[in-house]
Order: sequence, then C-alpha cells, then structure tokens
Amino acid sequence: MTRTPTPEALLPLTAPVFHILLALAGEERHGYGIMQDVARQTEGALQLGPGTLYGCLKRMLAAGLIEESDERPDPALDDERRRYYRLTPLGERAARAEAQRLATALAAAKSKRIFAGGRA
Amino acid sequence: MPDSSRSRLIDCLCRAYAAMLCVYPRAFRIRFGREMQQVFRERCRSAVTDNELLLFVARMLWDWLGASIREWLAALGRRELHAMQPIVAGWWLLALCGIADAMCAAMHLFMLDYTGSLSLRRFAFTTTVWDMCMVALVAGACAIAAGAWNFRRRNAWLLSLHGLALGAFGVVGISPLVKRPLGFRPISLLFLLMATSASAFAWGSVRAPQSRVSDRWFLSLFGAASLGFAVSFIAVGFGWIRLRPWYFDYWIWMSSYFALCSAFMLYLALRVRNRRSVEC
Repeated sequence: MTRTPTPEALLPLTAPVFHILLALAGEERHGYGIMQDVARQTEGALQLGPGTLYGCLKRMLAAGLIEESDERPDPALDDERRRYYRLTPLGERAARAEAQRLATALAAAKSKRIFAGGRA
Repeated sequence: MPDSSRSRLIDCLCRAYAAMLCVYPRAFRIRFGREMQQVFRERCRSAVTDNELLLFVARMLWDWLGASIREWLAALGRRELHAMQPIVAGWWLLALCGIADAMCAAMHLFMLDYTGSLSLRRFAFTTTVWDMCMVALVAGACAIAAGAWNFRRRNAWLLSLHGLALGAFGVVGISPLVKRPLGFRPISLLFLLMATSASAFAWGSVRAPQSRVSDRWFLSLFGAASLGFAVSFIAVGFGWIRLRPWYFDYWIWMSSYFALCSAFMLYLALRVRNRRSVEC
C-alpha cells in the first residue's frame, strides 16, 4: 500500500516548483503558459527553460502535486498537441504550506530588520 | 529582419533544438520532447521579435546542459533503485539449485576414501561421479536460469556466472570429449570462478539498503567463506597447498564447499519466496 505524502514532507519546495504551483493555482495551463506566468510572477527574475520546466513537471507529476488535465479551455483556439496541467489537492496543500513557511521566514526577516521593507 | 528570414531562422533553431533533445534520457524525451519543442518554438519566436536572440540562445544552451545532466542523474538513480529491488522471480530455481548442491555435497561424502569415516564409496563409486556431475549440471542450469530471470537486477549476472561455472564442472565430468585422467587445475579454475562470483554476488547484495541485519551478516560471512574457498581452490590447483587429489581430505573439502553453496542458495530461495529484502 502506498502512503500519501503530507505536504509538510515535501517542504521546502524549490523556487521553480513553488512558482509552477502558483502558476497553476486556480487555472489550468500548458507549458508555455506556465513559463510566461512564472516570469510574470518573478518580474523576469526566474525564466524557466523548457528542460528545467519539464524536468520540474515530471517530478511534480510523480509526486502527485499536479496532474494532466483532460479538458481544454478552448479547443477551437488551441493546438491540440498541447498538454494542460492542473493542481491536485496535494499540490494545493503543498503550495499553501510553502507560502506559510515563506511568510514565517519573511516575518522573521522583518523582525530582524534585514531588508528595507522591515519595520523601523 | 524580413519575415521570411525570421521564420527561416526560427525553423533552423527549432531543428537544432530538436536534435539537441536526443541528449536527454529516452523516456523523458518520449514523454516531454514534443511539448519542449513547442515551448522552444514559442520562446524563440518571442525572442526574435524582441531582438533578444543571443540572450535567448545562451539561456537555452544553459538550460539544455543543466537539465539534461539532471535528467540523466535522475534516470541513473532510478535504474539503480530499480536494480536494488529484491529478486522477485525464480525462488524455486534457487531452491532447486540449493537442493542439487546439497546432493553434490552428499555425493562427495559418499566418495570418501575407504579409510575415511564414511565408507559408502563401495556403493556409490561406479556411477556416483556421473550422477554427481549430472546433478551439478542441473544446479548450474538452475542458477543460470535464476540469474537470467532476474537479469534486470543488479548482480544477477553473477548468479548466472556461478551457474555457468558449476554447469561446466558437470559437463567436464560427463563429457566423452574430456580426456581422462583429468588434473585438478582446470577443475580448480572452474571452482575459483564459481566461488568468486558467488562471493561477489553475496557482497554486492550486502550493500542493499533494505536488507536486514541478519541478511547482512549471513551474506558477509558467506562472501568471506566463499572467497576463502576460492583462494584454497587456486592454491590447491596450482600446487601451493598439497592436498591429495581424489582422497579423503579432498572429498571433505569439496563437500564443504557444495554444502556452503547449498546453504546460500536455500537461504536466498527462502528470502526471495518471502519477498523480503535479500537484494540483488
């Protein structure tokens, strides 16, 4: 019997994995869509190449964080060879847990006045 | 840049990228290759439009290099893990091999010299050599088959090699092509191969992460004992140790080795049957 991993067991997530999860939060996307959204989220700081992107997607599929979607948002406008991906419930929980972890780290950084946005 | 030149350039880069995908592991390429090409084409089109072609090419090369290395490492790691899985098939072949080895050990005892503690030789000698060699042949065939059945598992080939040497010993004994009397040196070389391959198999199995403490002890001790026998076979074969060939001490010695092999094969069979963690 395989045991379902807890989201906490997957933490910390790598930056590409976390941003891919964020890109897929609430919306199914294909590879190029994910790539564009990650670049947008990070203001261009994280630009995933196809190798990195699909390597991450492969591992995320294997870990059960994402799954392939059977449906297409608009089949008439879309290339039918494209594959769409979406979050699984585990992926959602993992994204939430990682966001919480980062928020805690951010709060700690603020309290230490490490960055300019910290409280005076 | 005119549109035709631009689209030619994009096609050219996409073809180059498609060729570069061959570097990725096959399973990864089959699963994601087409999507990667699509993504590359779209990125390439956007880079050409934005006049960022050089930066784009540098990024893609870096991504290709890093990702292909990562995927190969992951693929090799998976293969290693797969290879470390327990032998799942052929426990009965191992058991048969163990029983045949035990029979060989008993038959060697039957052939003790008259002056030995057991004097069954008079009942056995006429056909026992032939029978023993046939049994050794069967044992060898079982070990070869067990190794071949589990050929994907790490070290399983050593089991087949052990069986090959054992089978060859059987063939030497029954083949009319082999001229007699036969010296011990060729036999010792076969036994050397048998013992070293069994030893390597056992020690290779010890390193498996899931094996139990008792397995590790048993396999380590068997590996050491088998290696000790290998040294003794070569030492006797090349005359470094004087052991009277075909006499009392010789039969005891050979019988001990077959008994050891029998214990090993039966243990393996039992563990494989229980699907526990004797790793190969």
